[in-house]
Amino acid sequence: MGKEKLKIAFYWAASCGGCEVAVLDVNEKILDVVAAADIVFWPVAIDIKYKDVEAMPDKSIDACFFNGAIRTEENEKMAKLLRRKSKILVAFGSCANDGCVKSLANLWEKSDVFERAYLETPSTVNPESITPQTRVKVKEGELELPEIYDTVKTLPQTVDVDYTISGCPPPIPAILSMFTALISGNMPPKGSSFLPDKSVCDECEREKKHTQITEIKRIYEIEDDGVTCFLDQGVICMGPATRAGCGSQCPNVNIPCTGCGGPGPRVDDQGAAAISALASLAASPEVVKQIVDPIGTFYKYSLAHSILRRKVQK
Amino acid sequence: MEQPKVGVFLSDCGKQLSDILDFDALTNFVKNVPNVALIARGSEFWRGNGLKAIVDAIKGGKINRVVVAESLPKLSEVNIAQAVSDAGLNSYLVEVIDLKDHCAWPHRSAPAEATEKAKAMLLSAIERAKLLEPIEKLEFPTLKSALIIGGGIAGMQTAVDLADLGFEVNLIEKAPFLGGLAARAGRFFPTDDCAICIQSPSSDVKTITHTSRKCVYRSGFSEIPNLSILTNAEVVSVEGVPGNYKVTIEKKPRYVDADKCVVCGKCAEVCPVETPDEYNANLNNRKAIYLNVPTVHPQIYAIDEDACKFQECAKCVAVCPTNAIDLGQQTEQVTLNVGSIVVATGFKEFDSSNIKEYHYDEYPDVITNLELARMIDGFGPTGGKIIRPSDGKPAKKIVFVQCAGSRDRRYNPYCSSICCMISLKNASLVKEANPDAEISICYIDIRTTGREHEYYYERARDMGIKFVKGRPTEIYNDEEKGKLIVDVEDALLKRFLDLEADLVVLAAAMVPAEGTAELAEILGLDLEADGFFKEYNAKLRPTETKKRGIYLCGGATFPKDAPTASLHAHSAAMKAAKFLTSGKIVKDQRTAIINEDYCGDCEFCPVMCPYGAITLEPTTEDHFVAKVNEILCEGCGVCVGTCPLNAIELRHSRPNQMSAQMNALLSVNGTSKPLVLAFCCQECGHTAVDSSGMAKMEYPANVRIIKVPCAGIVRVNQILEAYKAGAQAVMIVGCKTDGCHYEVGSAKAEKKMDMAKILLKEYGIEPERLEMFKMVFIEGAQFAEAAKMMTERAAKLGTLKLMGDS
Repeated sequence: MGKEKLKIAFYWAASCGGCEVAVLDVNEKILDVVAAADIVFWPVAIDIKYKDVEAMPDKSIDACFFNGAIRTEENEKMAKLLRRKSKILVAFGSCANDGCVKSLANLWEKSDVFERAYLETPSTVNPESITPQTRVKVKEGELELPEIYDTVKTLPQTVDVDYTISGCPPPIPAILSMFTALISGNMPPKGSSFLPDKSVCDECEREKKHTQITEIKRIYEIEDDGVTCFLDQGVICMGPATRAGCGSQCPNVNIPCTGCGGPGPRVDDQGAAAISALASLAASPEVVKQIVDPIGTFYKYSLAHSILRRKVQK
Repeated sequence: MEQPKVGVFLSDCGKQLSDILDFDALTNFVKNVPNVALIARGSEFWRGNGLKAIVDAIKGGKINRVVVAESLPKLSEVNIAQAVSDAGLNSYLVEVIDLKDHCAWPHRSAPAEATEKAKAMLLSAIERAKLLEPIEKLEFPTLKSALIIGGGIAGMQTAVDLADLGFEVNLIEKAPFLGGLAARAGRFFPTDDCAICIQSPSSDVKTITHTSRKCVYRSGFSEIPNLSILTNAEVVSVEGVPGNYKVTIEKKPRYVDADKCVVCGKCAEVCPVETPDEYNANLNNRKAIYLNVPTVHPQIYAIDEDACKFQECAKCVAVCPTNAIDLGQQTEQVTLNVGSIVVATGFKEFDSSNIKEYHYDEYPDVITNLELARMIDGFGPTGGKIIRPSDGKPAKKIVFVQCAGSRDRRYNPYCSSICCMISLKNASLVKEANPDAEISICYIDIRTTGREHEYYYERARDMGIKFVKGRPTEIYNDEEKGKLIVDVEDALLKRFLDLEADLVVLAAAMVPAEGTAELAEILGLDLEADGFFKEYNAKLRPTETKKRGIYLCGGATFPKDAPTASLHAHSAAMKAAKFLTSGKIVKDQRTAIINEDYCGDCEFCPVMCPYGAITLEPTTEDHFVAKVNEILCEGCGVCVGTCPLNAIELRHSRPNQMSAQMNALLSVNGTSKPLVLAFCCQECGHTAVDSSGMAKMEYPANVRIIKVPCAGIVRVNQILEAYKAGAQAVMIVGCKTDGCHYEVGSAKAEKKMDMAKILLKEYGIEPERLEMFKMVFIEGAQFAEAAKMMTERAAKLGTLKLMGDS
């Protein structure tokens, strides 16, 4: 085999670790990846330091799969570093693409988030009321820590990205087709995604009638027949406004879609798109008023990747 | 595509505008806008030399996009579009704006600010013009034939009109005989002429002169060669598009061969079956083989299959001299291909047994006006005698109860509009024939609004008919006296009365005919809350529907008297003829277009479209995508405003055009006031802006107008984008909910805006920064007020601090 092995990297910024697991969910196919590529950087799995990455020549990494949102100075620094070092940068997963649940922090000020997370939560024991600081003195000296930003951003809002693959985590078939394309050297044009351009409804088998919605219900308030579209049962389902690729996994097991696939390819604001569609279907203005927590419902995964991105700051 | 070369033609409307706006500044501003190839100034560009300048520039190849700032653009646009098209440029590559009514006049006291707004308006028009695309004409052939559903007074007249004009006409009636409700009415008010003529088979066309009869039904309609009549028939399905409908009709058997029956009546003589005669409100029995009345059309006996014993008996078959009776006839499916459909299904009496306190189904002597009309009719069950159905004795004391089931929130809240006159007619006819009859009419209000109607009421009073103002609370049966007692409070004399009666006549409410809702479903038409068919526009298009080629007439839209039903019938015929006469539909391709690659099969647009223009079609991979039917699409964009994947666009109002306009309008402020963006629907909203300008009402120049096809096209995304682009407040100006030119657009927009307000609050943006307004053209003052209010609101709330793109 005269061909030189590819160099690939994985990185996690503000994320939960689910995307790392999703990489392994390709099962034995990971062996094909390892056969074709050397993993040069993957904090969760191999011990390579940031300085080692810094030492790599620019564009020496063939492809970097970057998951996680940009929430801290460190996230941003690594995004920029890996952009410089990589030929291909893939925004991997909902956080990197849309901000995901992390970006719901954009509904608060940073100080509110600190207060809640580090002081108020019942499980917190913090008698000295310490909240994250950029500098802290320890007995060995003063430490410099990365700043946490006011606003969670997406990877494409931070650096130029070559490919996107959304989802929380990305659907396995999409990950597989990406790996296959990479290994075979047949990557699609820049800007492509490895997901279908349609919505979850296109993959959902449930029967749609779309008579008007007269009452909004929570999932526990209905006796789901497993056949009828959730919207027709009065339950909010984000399927219509959510990019396909998951095979409608959630509705298939009787859970409405919550929108992890992010907006459709032509949509700039998943929540507003969902609202425009659902409000049109409501029987009366009173029905739309029954929707509590609209941002949590319609922007659960995409607040950072939206038109306004965050709550107006005081 | 060729690079856009925009010609900008600035009219100062005979110095009216240049006295206010700084035209030199405008010219200099426009000059620097990329792709502007020509700027011309003049006093008018919609006619004469001005229009010639546009034409010459196009012909000379200098420009391929036209922006005209002209007064009264909604009128001048027609001329400009025609001239542009004649010059060889597609007329949709033109954008006409109104610097007078939308800028100079309403902002005349702040000329500098007005000039800045004019710049923004010109920029917006130029940016839109650059992105415009040609729109072609579509042509669809249509059949020169019509189907009329319902053989009552309205349907029959429409059929005759259309047939006389040369169209192939099919009239279907679900009963075995024509005539409908009107034929059973006995006489028509206020002239008391007989109703029976409307179903008369007389066909002596030659003796008919212009003056000989008022009634078209004596003019021989049954013999008109291009009018075919199907009785016992109902529509079961309608497919196709305007101009080419395929209608499936179920025709029940008559069991008598139309070509053989000689109407000798021997069959009825031998028929042993007696069954209640529903035509006469079951006041008598008829045979299982029958004619409703001798003068009925068609002149062919019919067998009532629910009553007939068929082969068990078959006496009629044996006696028929022409072997016309065929007991083996089956229900047939008949398919008709027609260009147009007219619905004339009429109305019926409300079932009075619902009104428990009147005991209609309990006391035989409580009857309805229609039942009384059958008694009055000489062909009726009693030969014209007024009797008590309980014992057949003459009815001397008669009490009428008005508004039985109408103007009553328990049943039908509306006034059925004709029952007062019907009761006056019936009471007068009875009184005339039986002067010693004691007649009282219990009423809430006597409504005699038509010509000669009040006279009719006065005559009834003069005849000695008593009027009691009050709605009876109960009807009792006094068994000892053998009379009915009507309990009523006379509101004028303030006393309780127990009116004795041999016969109580309920002026039953009029409700939609049987099967109205089902037919609406089949035809894809809407019903009003009262259950009658909804007309397209009550004021100007009373016999049209939202569907091209489908018309309504007579009582299908609301109870009507015979004169009004006739008017309606002729109107529907005129509209249908206008639609059918050219043999084709010609329309601009101002339609929605679906990008199938992005359609996610969520199935929202097919249910949102008010015209049924979107259907789901299977694709190869076992999936579905939405498809637009171009004949049916009216180009409103309600679907666009719904699509969660932005897979639908209007050819004449693409999202990129709208967003370019929005950004342009908000890019120039020139005032210290906060920018307000108003999305105005092209129908009512935008014309309200026109009228505020025409009436020289003032509002601040920071209010910027973006014209959209319908308020329903606006998506919540665009509202958020507007704030992001610098709007401090956003207005949506649409039609009144019931007056929406696209049926549902305004209502859909309102719900979206309600939801958007909730969302804005979550974003920390004051919901007061968004408001939906519903206006009509003449409400210019309301627009000016709304614009001022939104400006003040935004100013009070302070500048929105949204996150930048960085």
